[in-house]
Amino acid sequence: MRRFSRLEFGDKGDGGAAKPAPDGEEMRNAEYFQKQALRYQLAGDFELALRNYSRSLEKNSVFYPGWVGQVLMLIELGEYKEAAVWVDKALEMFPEHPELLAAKAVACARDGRMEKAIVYSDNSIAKDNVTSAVWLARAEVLLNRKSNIAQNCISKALSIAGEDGAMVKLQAGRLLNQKGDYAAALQYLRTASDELPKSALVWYELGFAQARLGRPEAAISFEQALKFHPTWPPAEEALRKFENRGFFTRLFGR
Amino acid sequence: MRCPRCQFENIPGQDRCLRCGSILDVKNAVIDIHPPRMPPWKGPMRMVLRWLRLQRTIPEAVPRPRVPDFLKIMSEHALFGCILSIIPGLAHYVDGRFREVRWFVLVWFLSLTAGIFIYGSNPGLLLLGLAVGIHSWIAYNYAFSKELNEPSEKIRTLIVMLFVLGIIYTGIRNTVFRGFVFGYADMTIPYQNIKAGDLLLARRGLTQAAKLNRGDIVLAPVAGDIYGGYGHQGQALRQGPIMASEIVGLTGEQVEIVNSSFVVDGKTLDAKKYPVPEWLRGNNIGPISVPDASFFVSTVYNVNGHGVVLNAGLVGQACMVRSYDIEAKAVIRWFPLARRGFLKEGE
Repeated sequence: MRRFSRLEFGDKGDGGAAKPAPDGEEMRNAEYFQKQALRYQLAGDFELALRNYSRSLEKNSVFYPGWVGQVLMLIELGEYKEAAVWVDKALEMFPEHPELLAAKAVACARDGRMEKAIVYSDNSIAKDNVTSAVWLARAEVLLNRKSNIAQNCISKALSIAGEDGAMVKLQAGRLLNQKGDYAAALQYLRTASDELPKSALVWYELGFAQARLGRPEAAISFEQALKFHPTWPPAEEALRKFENRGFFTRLFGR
Repeated sequence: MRCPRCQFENIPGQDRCLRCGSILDVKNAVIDIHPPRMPPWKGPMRMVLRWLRLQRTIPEAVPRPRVPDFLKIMSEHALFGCILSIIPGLAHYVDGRFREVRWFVLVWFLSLTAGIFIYGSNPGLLLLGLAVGIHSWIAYNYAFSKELNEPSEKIRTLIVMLFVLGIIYTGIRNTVFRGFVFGYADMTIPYQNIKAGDLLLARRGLTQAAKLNRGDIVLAPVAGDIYGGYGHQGQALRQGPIMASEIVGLTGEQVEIVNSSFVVDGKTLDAKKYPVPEWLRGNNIGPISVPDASFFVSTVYNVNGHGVVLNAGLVGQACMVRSYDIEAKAVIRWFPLARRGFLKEGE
């Protein structure tokens, strides 16, 4: 330990790495709340994840992952207009940031504003340091336009994902589930479930794809999701629907 | 203070860049970190609007359908594209843009079908007008919107399109539906289940091919309104509109009106089958001889004018129709649909 490491210099930001508190408990700084938010996100509780991202910004208002996380959670909660407004606000602090532009593209695409979405996606992809989130957003925009090259964008996102590979696979699987390509989604979600075995969201999405493909393992996946997030309404509903599916659905597999 | 985004040199003390609006001193700025939230009541409304917006989304790569090359070449030219649009949506289909107008084609088809189904009635005409309007819009959308920029040019083009399509639709009516004609019944005939205001479908060819009998409903131009001081002075009545009339007297017969019933050659007719119209009731008129190639018909007139003297001469003139003037023979009660059905044959 360095001599002056415990001295206070009036720094407002807590943007550094999480340091353990003197009693051994983790310090509740921006990173801590980001981790909490990610935990809730993987459990499928986007509302709580959003609150934790907001708390991370309370600790450090220029904490970039907090802003991106807030925008993404607003999108997950279906509040696309609000997400677009919030991206604009975040862009004031992080101008021309590719991930924020990509998030805006997703918000516009899901809100049915395809012309705007493609413009923002073009803009985000033209920047330096393009991340996997940008390529995933590109894939979503292209899938909405029924373009054939969306799959290439997902592959590109996976190739540059690095440590975030599991999250990217989860997002890719969710995206393909939304667009009805369940077979492709299943591939990504299977590997994601190996890498994130305690994520209720992964199991739920995996179960969803399996159910749509008529696989009996869907019930197990939904049960796994409920194991990690008990009384989660979407998973309970999906499991109930799957178990009560009709004769012809069982007969023909889907 | 230099803007970190656009490098513009701002006046000291500014919070935001004068050029691009970025926050200059991010660390010391007061930033709201709580995002706006959507009120729950807005959710369903936004969902509907989103769905409508997504319907307009045009796929990036639409495989062009397999069509002959000459159609593809034609579709690329505005004028020929317009010609192809005589079948609504064909030019769009050939160009792989059918998705843009699919709802319009569906509404056009539905309004055309419904318009033909109740053709002749006012709602039917309205629906057909709507179909023509939608058709012209589809053609206009394909052929002209790309090339015309001035609003006045676009409006002129739309008017021309409406005019041309109006001619086409009228032509179709006069060729395909030439044998059919419609008319409103002005009197109630219980025997035929006809009520005043019913729309009758009549066929033209039947007046020549088949012999007309007593009790047949025909569409014929009847005499105009009878007003006091006009008909009874021995002048000819004006040619009136085409009306639905019931044949009561045939050539060579003697028709009388006695106690609100028709009497033909001394035989009283059934009042339910041959009702005497309101304007003739309460008068004993006749006998009236029906001349060659003519029929005595029962129909409704406006006799509210003052000074009308109903005598055999006037009634004979008003109710007599020459056989070649008869437009068509009514065969079906067409509208309202609840009483739709074939009319009974005359005697």
